[in-house]
Amino acid sequence: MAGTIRKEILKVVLRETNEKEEKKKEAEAPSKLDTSNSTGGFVAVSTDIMKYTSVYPDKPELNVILADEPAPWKNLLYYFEIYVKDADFKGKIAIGFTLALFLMNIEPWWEDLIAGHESSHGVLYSGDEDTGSTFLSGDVIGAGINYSTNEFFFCKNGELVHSVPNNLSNRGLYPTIAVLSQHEEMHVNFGQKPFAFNLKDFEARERRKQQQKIEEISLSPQVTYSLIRSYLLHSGYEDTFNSFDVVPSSPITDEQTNTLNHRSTLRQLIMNGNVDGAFAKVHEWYPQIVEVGSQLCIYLLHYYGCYKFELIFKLAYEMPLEVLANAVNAFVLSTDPHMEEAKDCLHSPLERLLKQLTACKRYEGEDFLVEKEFSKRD
Amino acid sequence: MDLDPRQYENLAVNDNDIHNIVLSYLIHNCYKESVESFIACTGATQPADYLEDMDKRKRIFHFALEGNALKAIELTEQLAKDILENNKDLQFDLLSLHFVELVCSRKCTEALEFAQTKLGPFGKEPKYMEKLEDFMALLAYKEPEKSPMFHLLSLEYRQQVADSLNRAILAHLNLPSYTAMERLIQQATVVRQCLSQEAGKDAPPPFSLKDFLRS
Repeated sequence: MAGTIRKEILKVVLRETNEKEEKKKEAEAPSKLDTSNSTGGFVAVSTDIMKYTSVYPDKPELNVILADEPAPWKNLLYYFEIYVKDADFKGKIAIGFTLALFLMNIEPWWEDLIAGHESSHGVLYSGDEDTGSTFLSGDVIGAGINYSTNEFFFCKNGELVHSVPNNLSNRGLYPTIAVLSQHEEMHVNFGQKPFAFNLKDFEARERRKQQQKIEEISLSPQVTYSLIRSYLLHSGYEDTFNSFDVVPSSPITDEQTNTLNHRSTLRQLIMNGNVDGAFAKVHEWYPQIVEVGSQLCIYLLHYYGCYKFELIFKLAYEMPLEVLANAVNAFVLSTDPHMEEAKDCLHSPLERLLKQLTACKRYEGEDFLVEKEFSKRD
Repeated sequence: MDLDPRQYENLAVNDNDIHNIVLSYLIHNCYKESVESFIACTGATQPADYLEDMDKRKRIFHFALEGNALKAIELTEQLAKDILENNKDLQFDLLSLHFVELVCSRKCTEALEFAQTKLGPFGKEPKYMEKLEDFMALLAYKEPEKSPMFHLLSLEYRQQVADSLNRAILAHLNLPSYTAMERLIQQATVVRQCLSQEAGKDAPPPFSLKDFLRS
């Protein structure tokens, strides 16, 4: 009874923690322009309306304002827009992304940035002088980061008009608006309202491109064959290995075949629930494991949270049989003099590859589900 | 603090996921006995569509691999007439396999006749013209194995054609035409390349599958 209550409490606590994490995540995306993060002259009329008035009426002055948070980088794309409600017809307005440091030393970088060129501080875009396509009252202008192609891209009235390579770090880039004019009024949209630019379509196209890039990687049948072969051999699936290995490949990993029959027997015993029988066999065949003969064995015991081999079997009734079978398999492999590293005993190259992909995808912020990813039809 | 993807060893991988990846590979490549044995060993769930035409696919695949393209074509048409009708590239590749077999058997007259009647019509399209020239060039050599086009006689080339045929049949049967295994390797390669680019100068050396498998 007490155990059930504990579980319920734990569920609630975990749910609350997750909700807090989610809220924290949401709060991390830019939501408004931050007047305290600017060079001055900007006044927030509301969360999405910003007015700018130059303090020097006789000459236009360069001023810049950044968003309250940097663009989230664990996405395929990031994008925001401004609607130019009232532009100074002699002035210039630019949009883009800069690092926070930019505000401290703004003047030298302005010329470079305003032309849509990248500097070490970021990139801003004010339209194309040559074609006369600058930003006027009534225009909706947008700036985005395409993380998959490492580019900044810019839009005007829902159309993609310009892109620049991004050689900067993906982190710490703040959505930025710069003005060189007497007065401006703009409405900012960080995604609270629909964008003029069709971001969904653009994202779908980019994902297709990414998928194509993946599919274009050519693989030799030998690579996939040897990965499967090494997995079957490593895991001790003897019958499957023998029927699969019709054309024995290079004998690089074949030291593992020495113990294949034993490992196969042990796996079968454990999977059938005969843990005692498996333990007896290990005692008979591999006394050196039970006595913890090697450094490798000590590492494996530590990996499985034990200090004696017997404890693996004591824990047997608490751990899933598959995990137990994998543990015993790893210990038997550790008796092989060719096995220098613990990772070779613990996981086959196929498993390591899957672990790597999962880690990389999580690092990139994608929720990676093997089942969803690999079971779908082409 | 973000997890460094290089510290991947600490991640748990679900055994069922691995089993499904292995099973999808075995089914795709028609290892029927291995499929049955693997299901028995692991208790993996047997896919509903697992046996669907596997024996037929296996025979077709092996005929193509051995260079017996006419038999592969015949069996494919029995299985589904429109597979080759709708795939001119595959049709050309299979017919060219038969041409290569004739050349290797030193049946040059027969090879020439076959090329004129069966491969000739493809020559109207520029994309086949170049390939046709390569195949016809084989006839100019006493020992085609030593010609610059020797790769057309290789097992790798036959494997490539057999794979394409197998994928076309799978797609026709509404089964995945690529294994989870292939997608896994492709994805891992691309993701690792992207991470290397992002990390810039501090990045580890670019990802190499060969080195990874050796490590």
